[in-house]
Amino acid sequence: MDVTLYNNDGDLIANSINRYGFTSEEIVRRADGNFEIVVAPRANPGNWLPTGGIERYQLVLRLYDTAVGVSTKAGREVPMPAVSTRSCP
Amino acid sequence: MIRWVLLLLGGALLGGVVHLATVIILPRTATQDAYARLTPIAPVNTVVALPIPSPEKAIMPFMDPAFASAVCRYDLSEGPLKLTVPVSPAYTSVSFYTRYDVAYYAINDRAAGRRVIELDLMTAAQHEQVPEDEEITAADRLIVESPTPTGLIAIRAMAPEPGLMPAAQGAVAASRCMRQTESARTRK
Repeated sequence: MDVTLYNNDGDLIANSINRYGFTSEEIVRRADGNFEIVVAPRANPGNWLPTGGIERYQLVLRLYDTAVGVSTKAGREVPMPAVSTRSCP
Repeated sequence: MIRWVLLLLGGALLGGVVHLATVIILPRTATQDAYARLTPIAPVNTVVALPIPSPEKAIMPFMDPAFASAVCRYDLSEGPLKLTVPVSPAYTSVSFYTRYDVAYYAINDRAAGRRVIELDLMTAAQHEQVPEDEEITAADRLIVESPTPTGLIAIRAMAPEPGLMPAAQGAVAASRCMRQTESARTRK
């Protein structure tokens, strides 16, 4: 699985730490296995995905070779990540 | 009154037909599709490794930076192709696209169940010419039929962390797609 940040043209966004996304193996998790990614222009503790200051972007979540379906409506779906606005500068 | 209703209905119907026709034709008239973008850098029937996407340069939009990728731009008019892809330490996948970028087949390392993904790509007409007994003797020979004589094969290997990228690139670079005729002749 991985999450990647793009601008609306589908380009990666330049930043000082060359971080364009997280794979499931790179991500820092909490004790219960959950994870949190902060998408922000300025550095944040934990999993920080830099936006380079652009206002509109796309977050793409890709699931590779997963044993469970996410859109099968089978009742045993994996909970999708929630997105919330934390603060607007 | 009824004339106006008929006129509006006719107009809506005509609009619908034009709209649908445009949507259907559009992919075939696109000049900057994946096949066209890859033509200058990818010679026919050869695996070419693609550079890892960066903010400055990416051959295609929405490429995944966690993957090493390569393409084989194929042309089956001269004969079937043989494709071999060594499996990288992590997830590896091979996808097949027609000339107009419609995906028609895909296989990954788990589905292949071996250390090397190996298959033959041919058109429906070429498949018919394969002698039946040959197909039986090579029971585990995987044959994929291409709906169009030309198209693209995308080979992707995942690097779950940046340190594994060289291994993924190595697996992708060691892939081969080549015409079968040479090997078939030596067998006879």
